[in-house]
Amino acid sequence: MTITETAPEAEASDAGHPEGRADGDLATLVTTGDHKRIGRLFLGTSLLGLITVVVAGLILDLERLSTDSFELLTSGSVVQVTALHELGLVLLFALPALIGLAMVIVPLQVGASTLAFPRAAALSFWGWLLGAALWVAGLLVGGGPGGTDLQGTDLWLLATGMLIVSLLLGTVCVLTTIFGLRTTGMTLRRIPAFSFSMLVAGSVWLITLPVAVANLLIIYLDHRHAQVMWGANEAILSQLSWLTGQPQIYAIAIPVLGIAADQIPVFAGVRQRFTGVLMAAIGIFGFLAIGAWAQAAIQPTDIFDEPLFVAVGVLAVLPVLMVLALGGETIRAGKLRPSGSLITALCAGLALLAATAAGAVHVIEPLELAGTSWHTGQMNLTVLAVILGVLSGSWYWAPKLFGRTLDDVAGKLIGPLLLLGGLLLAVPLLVAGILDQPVTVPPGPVDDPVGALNGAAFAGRALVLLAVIGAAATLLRGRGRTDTPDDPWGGHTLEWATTSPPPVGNFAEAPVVTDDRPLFTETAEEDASA
Amino acid sequence: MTAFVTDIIPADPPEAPRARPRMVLLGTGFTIAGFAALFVGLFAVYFTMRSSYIAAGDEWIPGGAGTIPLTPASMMFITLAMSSITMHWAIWAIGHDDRLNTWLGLGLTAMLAAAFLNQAAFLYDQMGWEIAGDLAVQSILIYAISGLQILMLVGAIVFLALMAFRAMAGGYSSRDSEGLVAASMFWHASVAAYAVVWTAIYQIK
Amino acid sequence: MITLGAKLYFGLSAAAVFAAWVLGLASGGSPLGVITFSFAGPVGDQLGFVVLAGTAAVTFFLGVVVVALRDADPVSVTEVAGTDTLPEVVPPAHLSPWPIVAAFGAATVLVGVVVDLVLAGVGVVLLTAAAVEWTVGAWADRATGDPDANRALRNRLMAPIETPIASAFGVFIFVFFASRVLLALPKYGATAVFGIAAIVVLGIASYFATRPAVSRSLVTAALLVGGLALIGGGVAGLAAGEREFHYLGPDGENGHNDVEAEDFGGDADELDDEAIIEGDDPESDESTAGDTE
Repeated sequence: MTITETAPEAEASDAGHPEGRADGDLATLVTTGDHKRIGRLFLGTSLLGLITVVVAGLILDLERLSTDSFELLTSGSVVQVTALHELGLVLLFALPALIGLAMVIVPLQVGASTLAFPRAAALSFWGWLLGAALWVAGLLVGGGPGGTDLQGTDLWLLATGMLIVSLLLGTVCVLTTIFGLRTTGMTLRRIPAFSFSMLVAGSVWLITLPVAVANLLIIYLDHRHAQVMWGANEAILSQLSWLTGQPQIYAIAIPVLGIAADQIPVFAGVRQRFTGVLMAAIGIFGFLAIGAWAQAAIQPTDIFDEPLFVAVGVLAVLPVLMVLALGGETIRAGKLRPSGSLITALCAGLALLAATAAGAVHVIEPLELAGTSWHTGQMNLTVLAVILGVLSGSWYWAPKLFGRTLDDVAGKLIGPLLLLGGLLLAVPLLVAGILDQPVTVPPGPVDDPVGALNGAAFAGRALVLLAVIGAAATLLRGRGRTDTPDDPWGGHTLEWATTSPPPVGNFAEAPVVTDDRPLFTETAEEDASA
Repeated sequence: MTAFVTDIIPADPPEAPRARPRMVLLGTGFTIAGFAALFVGLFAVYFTMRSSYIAAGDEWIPGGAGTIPLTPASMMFITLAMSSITMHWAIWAIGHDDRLNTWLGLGLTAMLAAAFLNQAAFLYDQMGWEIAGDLAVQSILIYAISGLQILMLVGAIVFLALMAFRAMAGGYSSRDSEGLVAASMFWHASVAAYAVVWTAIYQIK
Repeated sequence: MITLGAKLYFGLSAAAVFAAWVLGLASGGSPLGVITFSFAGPVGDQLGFVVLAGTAAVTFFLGVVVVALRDADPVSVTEVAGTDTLPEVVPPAHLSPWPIVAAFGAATVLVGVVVDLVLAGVGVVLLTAAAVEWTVGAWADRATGDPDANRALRNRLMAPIETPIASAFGVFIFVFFASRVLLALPKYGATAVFGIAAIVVLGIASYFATRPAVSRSLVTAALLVGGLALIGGGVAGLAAGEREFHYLGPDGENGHNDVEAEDFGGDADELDDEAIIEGDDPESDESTAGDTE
């Protein structure tokens, strides 16, 4: 029996509250302490970051296609653009997008009136944004890995640290909210899957990303003063490459499992089954994503010879399979309504499964895939899962994020289109890896089969870029509608118990719950009595 | 932001609602965990480089190339250990609504922190290492680790100062002293960090 | 009782210890060294082992924190608060510029550390200002149960400090950056640029004055653009450096002891000749001109 004391139709008036103004109000935007607005800022700017780094990826693809007579980039610029693309996917898109989504949704899911430390969350966003600006500026002035400008490289190193520290600050806000701001009756066991996945992901980020800051500190001191250890320019990117390699790359994909797991029962119209198993699977995936120990560039032995590395790489498939199997079981038990967000979530799950499967193959030493473009393909598959997950979450929670539902037809198209583009991008890179194409962009033209595969990867990335731009345009379109239903999907969890968009303070009255699916049980009982 | 010094303060405003317990403590706990992971990253590289030197038959800190005097480092340890006691004194006092002893404890803690920073400057001066030459790798790592610990302590001082201001303005009492307790948590963590630095770098070398 | 959050962290900790042992043993570590965390023997892959052992320690610490706080479960929080219901957490009652100021401060420190330590000092000042304002604001937000009273309390404490500092800072910023532009531009160029700037300011102000209502965003954007133009111009002026000055001699152009700036766009030799002709002592003139620059 569930009691939800908040009437879904209850509306708290924002009139007169300084946070009640529209997002277009610049003064409000730069001084806001509203978690929903800060989350939207994170989400919007991270999509801009995604477009930037995908364009950088396209430039690298073009460079792979270059001939003797036409070369787009110098060898130093190739390393710079590689750094922008690979680290940018994690630091300019994946982490800020997921933190932004969590900043909006997690407080609503746990029944909190705000995010913990909302002004620290604002500092997190502005720190990240300015850090990103300095990060890109460092590359543009000729610094960063592969660059020749010493001061530019120093700036790039410090800006990378600022990016990570800012993101960690946002993570602390989200984690504290999950633990410390739950409403009456919301035990940790009852929190929705997305919030739980953010708890696991945030914890993993908190214990691994500071190791990258430690690396940056050492690289910075060495680069500025001595250049005897890691600070020589050609060594910088390889020292940080563990952030985008196995198993650490899975850390950005943990919340994707939560986003999918929250939607499947809603659109199947049944209660989530085996919640404990679901939580355990997400927790296990979180542990397998701890990758700070696998820093290939500094370890004396080849990391691919380490049994632990191989075991982690192979085992990572299992929790993803478990979550997808649980989803399949839930779908089988109910009657599926295929919405745009659900289709995109399922595409995200499939992309993550493909990524972990590719990762499992990657670590099998006799196949000799280490150091080949298999790595790039596997990383792109993982990031593809995150892009799909973020877009799926944006579509699903759009009434709470933007105060309106998004175009469902566009939602149904964008997911499969992205998956198609992502596979067209990643699979040729995987196959080229089998054909021994190195992970780095070669200086000259490549032989025909690999050249054709690189051409296909370019087409795939272009398709991904088009789909992302299309999705961003859909997100921006049609703002300001006031007739959005509070719960358009028949949601089960607490975020659907408030208005769309939620008022300042989120709930007219603090909700009280006695069940992990408070709205589902209520609906079921109403149906039964009807 | 409009500021008017003539704003009228009501004679008898309602009492502020009780702050949500545990929130600041949790946030501080997660922040300490982040710092700890940062130290883990630094020490991992430190021990890796140290063992690679030793495995190659070299000395990690070659005799005559430079010294790390243990006495000032140990005095710094004792100073910080004492500050942990005075910090606990302040927390105990606020828990008993004893404001005089709270101030005394906080003041002594700040004084000991200033003494520690002074000693750290003295130690660096005694070492006289530059990030160059044969000791470049060692100095990069030792300065990075010890510098981070000093930075953490400075953060703890700022945190403590901010919470002390709130205590001075009547924000804390025996009923609610979590802000000060959180600041003390961070303080003890920075002392623990120095204990590890002292053992791993200054003692074992 | 071990709470769910603690189970998660203790589980991660145990798994990290196990992983460290596996890694250590498989990479050439001795069983005793691995079990004693390198105190009694080698641990093989030192970096991976330390990171995993450290991860175990950090997650164990987190487990201890959350079990000590009972997962901050609503029931236990209510008990700690000594209230009947869960204490409410109120969203911020007003907007605050200090997070973005602090972020700018941090960014300025970074740029300053790389480029010029004076700039880093400016960043530290910004960070300090943000920390003080933030603290006072956070205290005032919870001083009483009345937001208006809280605001009045905050203003009574801070306005006598903020107003003079902000005014002096504003005047300094304007004078500093405007003077950099003036010093960098040619003599007549400076007159033209600031003549046009004055007309633009007057025009925009007149436009705002004649409107029945002006949106906040428009005013904010105009101020922001103006401020950025001033600072951008000043920074460009700093980068370009001052134009060269021509010292007219100890008695000056009209027989006064003054220094006059002139555009040095023409022939340098010719201008030097002028200085020699107009001044009494060429050597003394050159040295004084050097000081002036």
